Amino acid sequence: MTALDQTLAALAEPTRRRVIDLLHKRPHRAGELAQIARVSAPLMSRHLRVLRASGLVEEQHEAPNDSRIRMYRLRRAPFSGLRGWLDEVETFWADQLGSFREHVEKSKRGKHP
Amino acid sequence: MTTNDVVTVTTVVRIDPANAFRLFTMEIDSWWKRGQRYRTGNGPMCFDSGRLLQGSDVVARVLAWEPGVRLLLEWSAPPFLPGEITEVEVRFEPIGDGTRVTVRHCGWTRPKGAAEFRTVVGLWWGTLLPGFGRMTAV
Repeated sequence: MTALDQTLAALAEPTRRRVIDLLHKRPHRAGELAQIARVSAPLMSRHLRVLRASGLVEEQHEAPNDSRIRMYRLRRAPFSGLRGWLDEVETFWADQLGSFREHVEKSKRGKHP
Repeated sequence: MTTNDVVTVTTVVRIDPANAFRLFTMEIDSWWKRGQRYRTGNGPMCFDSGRLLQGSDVVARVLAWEPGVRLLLEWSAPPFLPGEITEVEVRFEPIGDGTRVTVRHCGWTRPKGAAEFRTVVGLWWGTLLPGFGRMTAV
C-alpha cells in the first residue's frame, strides 16, 4: 500500500472527510469533533486513530502535563506528497507538448525548406 | 492554469488546427517522448481501431475523435498508477494563424477513491499550498 493509497483509504469515509474539513479551519478537540460530526465519542476516537495512522492528522497536547486535553490538527506531509504527484502529471504533459511543438516546427521546415 | 482536480497544460503551434490534429495523432510515434518515464514498452505508438497503442499495450481508449477540434481519451498509462483510469482531453483551437493545443488531464471524479481524492486535492488547491500551473513556452 503506497502512502497515497493509505491517504485515500483514510479518507474513504464521510465522517473522516468531515473531520479533515473541520481541522482545515482550526485545530479541534476530539469531543468537539464528535459533537459537530454527530457521532459518539468512541466512534470519533476510532476515526481519529485511522487518520493519525495515515499521517493526515496529529495530536497536540494543549498543556504539556495534561494528556486529557488533546487537540487534533492537520499535518502537511500527505498533502505535499500529493503535490509532488500532480506536479509529475503536469511535467509529463508539458514535456510531451514541448516535444509536439518541436515536431510541428520540424515538419513545417520539411515542407518549406 | 489548473483547478481542483484538473491538470491543464497548453502550448501554441504555428500550424492550423486540422494539421495540428493530424500531426498529433498520425505522427504520435515521432514526437511522443521516449524513455521509461513516457513509454511503457518498446513498440511504436499509434492510434488504431479506437485505441492508442504502444506495440501491443493499450495506452488509451478513444472516447471522442473530432479532427481539428478535440480528442478525448480514457487514459490508462503513465504518469498514472497502474490500474488507475483517468481522462485526457486534447483541444485544438485556432489562435492567429496557429493553434492552441490544450491538454486537460482529469477524471479523478470517476475512479474509486474519487471523493476522497477530491477532498485532498481540493484542500491542497484551496489554501494549503500555493497554486501552480505552467504554460510551455510559446
